[in-house]
Amino acid sequence: MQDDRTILKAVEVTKDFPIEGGILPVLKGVNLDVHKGEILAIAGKSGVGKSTLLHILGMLDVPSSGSVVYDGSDLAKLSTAGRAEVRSRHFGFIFQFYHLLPEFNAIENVLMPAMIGTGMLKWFAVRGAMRKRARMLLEKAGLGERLRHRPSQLSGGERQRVAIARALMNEPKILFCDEPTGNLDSKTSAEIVEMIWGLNRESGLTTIIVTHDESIAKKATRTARMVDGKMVQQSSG
Amino acid sequence: MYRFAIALRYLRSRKITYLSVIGVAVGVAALIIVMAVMEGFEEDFKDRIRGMLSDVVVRYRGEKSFEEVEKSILSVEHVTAAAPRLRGMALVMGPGGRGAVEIVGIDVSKEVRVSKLAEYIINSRVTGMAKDLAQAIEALEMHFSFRTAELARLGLLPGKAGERLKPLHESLREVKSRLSKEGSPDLIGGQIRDAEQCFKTWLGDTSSAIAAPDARSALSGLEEGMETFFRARRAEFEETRRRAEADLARFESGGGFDSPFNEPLEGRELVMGEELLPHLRVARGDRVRLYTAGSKGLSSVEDEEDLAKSEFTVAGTFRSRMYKSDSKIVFMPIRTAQILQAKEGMISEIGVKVDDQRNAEAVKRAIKEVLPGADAQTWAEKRRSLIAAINLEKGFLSAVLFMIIVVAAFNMLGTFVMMVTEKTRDLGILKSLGGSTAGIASIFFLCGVFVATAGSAIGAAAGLLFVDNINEIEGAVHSLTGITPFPRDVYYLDSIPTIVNPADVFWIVFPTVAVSVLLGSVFPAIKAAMLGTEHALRYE
Ligand SMILES: Nc1ncnc2c1ncn2[C@@H]1O[C@H](COP(=O)(O)OP(=O)(O)OP(=O)(O)O)[C@@H](O)[C@H]1O
Ligand SMILES: [Mg+2]
Repeated sequence: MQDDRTILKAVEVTKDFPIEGGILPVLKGVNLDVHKGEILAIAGKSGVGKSTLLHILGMLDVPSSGSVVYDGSDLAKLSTAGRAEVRSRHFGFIFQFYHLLPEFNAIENVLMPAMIGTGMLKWFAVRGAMRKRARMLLEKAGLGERLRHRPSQLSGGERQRVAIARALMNEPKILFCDEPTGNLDSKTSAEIVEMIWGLNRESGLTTIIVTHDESIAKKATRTARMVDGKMVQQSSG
Repeated sequence: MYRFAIALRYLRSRKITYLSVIGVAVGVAALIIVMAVMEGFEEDFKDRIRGMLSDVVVRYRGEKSFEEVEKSILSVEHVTAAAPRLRGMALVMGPGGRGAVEIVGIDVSKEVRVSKLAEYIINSRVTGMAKDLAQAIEALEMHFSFRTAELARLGLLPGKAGERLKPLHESLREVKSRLSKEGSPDLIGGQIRDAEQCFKTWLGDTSSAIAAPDARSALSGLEEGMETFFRARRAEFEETRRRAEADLARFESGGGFDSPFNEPLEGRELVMGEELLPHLRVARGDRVRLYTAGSKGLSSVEDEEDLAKSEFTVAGTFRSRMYKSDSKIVFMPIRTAQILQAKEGMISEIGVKVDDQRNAEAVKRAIKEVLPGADAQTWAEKRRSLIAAINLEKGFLSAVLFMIIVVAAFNMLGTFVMMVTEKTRDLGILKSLGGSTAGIASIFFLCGVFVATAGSAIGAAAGLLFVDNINEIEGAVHSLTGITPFPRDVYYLDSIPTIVNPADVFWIVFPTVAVSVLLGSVFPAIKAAMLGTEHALRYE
């Protein structure tokens, strides 16, 4: 079933983790379609394998079997360097614990994906433009005054906004969010959620969001529910 | 690009990496300093060996006469002079002792052009003067002591004479010890000035401490005596210097000596290593007896006439700074040596001077060609085992010192392995931002490159700076602790010799960077590449 709207697709994805005295099957054959321009929520109990699935979809990890198809091509066939290339040019990530680089300030963190994605020589040519874009993204996130702050000098909500700005730096096609509000109070959560939904409204950014929070899941275009390593239900809005 | 930025940021934010940099720097500096000093000593040592030998030594056993042989040697390109020598053994007897010596029959006017004999004779004279000067200063000091004691006894000087004299003795000790070291004309001139200053300062201090007019006049008497003394020393020094310079000039134009014993090595005169003088208890101008296996002297000691014939005048001494030569070698005219050993018309070798050291090897080969049956050796070949020993020592020492760098590399290894573990999550983040495994791993490789190059650069700069100021540093250590790191009289040297060889610096820095990068950062980079980072992103 190849759907026009499908941008990313998981086919019979399994994932086993080696543990002491055997293996632990976490994903047991997951099928999932992600449509262009939608916000797809992935819900499920803790420990069911949501993060594992997100990492596999985002090519931070490889499935034990099954395949992930992005834009019509099977990602399992790519080399590690090729997968890094896809992450760099097409994917953006936001995590529960922000995961900013502690030694770098806000604007440097936002610039990092651009630096990684640009060759050394070319970097000196595009640096000015990139700095401008990073500053614009941070200003849009309401952090115009915090450009030179280190992560340790920022609040949780501010850190997450820096992380969102960073995820948008290379103009990704898909935004992967792993419980982006899991560590924030309800007011800050609401702001972050509003930011993510705003992006989707403005530019139609395809977003996959793993969440515990039913109210967030309800706002999504569709919600996929996981039980015992399988998708049990994909419901709209 | 991001790798450089991250590597630099990681290093800068960790003080412990400075330790690694210092470790590498210390190793590089130590190697550079030790190599420069060893090279300096080696060069000086080779110079001493060569000075007694000449650049190339030819042995010839054939039909041709010396004149013919000399002519063919001089016809070789790059050869500037040649001098015949006849070597033999002899027993020398003086009033105070006897000793086995090597007698070397030479043609002085030729010998001074192939070896450094002329310079060595002058060195000996100047050093002799330095020793005389030290003794004379001691005598003057004694005179001062007696007069001071007298004044104190008469109650004209307050305090104890011993206390009062202490500063004088102390300031002079330094001057005297410097005079007992290697003598050069400039050094002696300076020491005369310094010694005079010591006396003057002391006189000034003492006269301002006393009021009695009697004592004052006694002191001014002392001062006059002192001034006369130093005037005479200075004149003597100028005379010696003038004569030394005249001698050198004359040697260069092929002439003889202008010593109290004009034209030495005429007939029964000889020049001996200066260490032989105290051993035989003789001085220049004294007579010694010489016995050789071939001379009649040995067979008929009873014969008064023969005994007289075996007597030689010590016309001069030389100082080559090689103890073995200075205590074992006696030069005499080659004619005399031939008669003494019943080797009429024979020579044992020909010393050859080459225009440039680097041509010695070529000259050696050319001589073998023009003189079939001749055996030619460069000075270095003649002293092969000594030079090999020096090289072995150098190699061994650099290997030991290189261990400092190996240790520094292990220090780097520890630091970076810790850093990889500590930064696992950062590595996961970088992957999520599009970094490839290889790219992320190379961050740690770059860390190693930075530490190694920074350490090498700092170490090289520090080492070169140290070498440049090594004598000042030695002086500072001496004046702070009283230890003499470099006893000049032991080494026969005025200052620590150093040679910085750019190739050496390269061969220190390049392996240092290579080894510390390979040892210190390749493994952490591999570890970073193998690390599973997926897990690190799930938790805080
Ligand atoms: N590297 C690993 N080795 C072994 N087991 C692992 C590993 N990573 C994850 N697991 C296990 O896989 C299961 C799924 O983990 P995952 O983090 O995907 O759950 P999750 O649904 O995201 O839970 P949460 O909502 O608490 O974040 C867990 O039981 C976890 O212990
Ligand atoms: Mg999770």
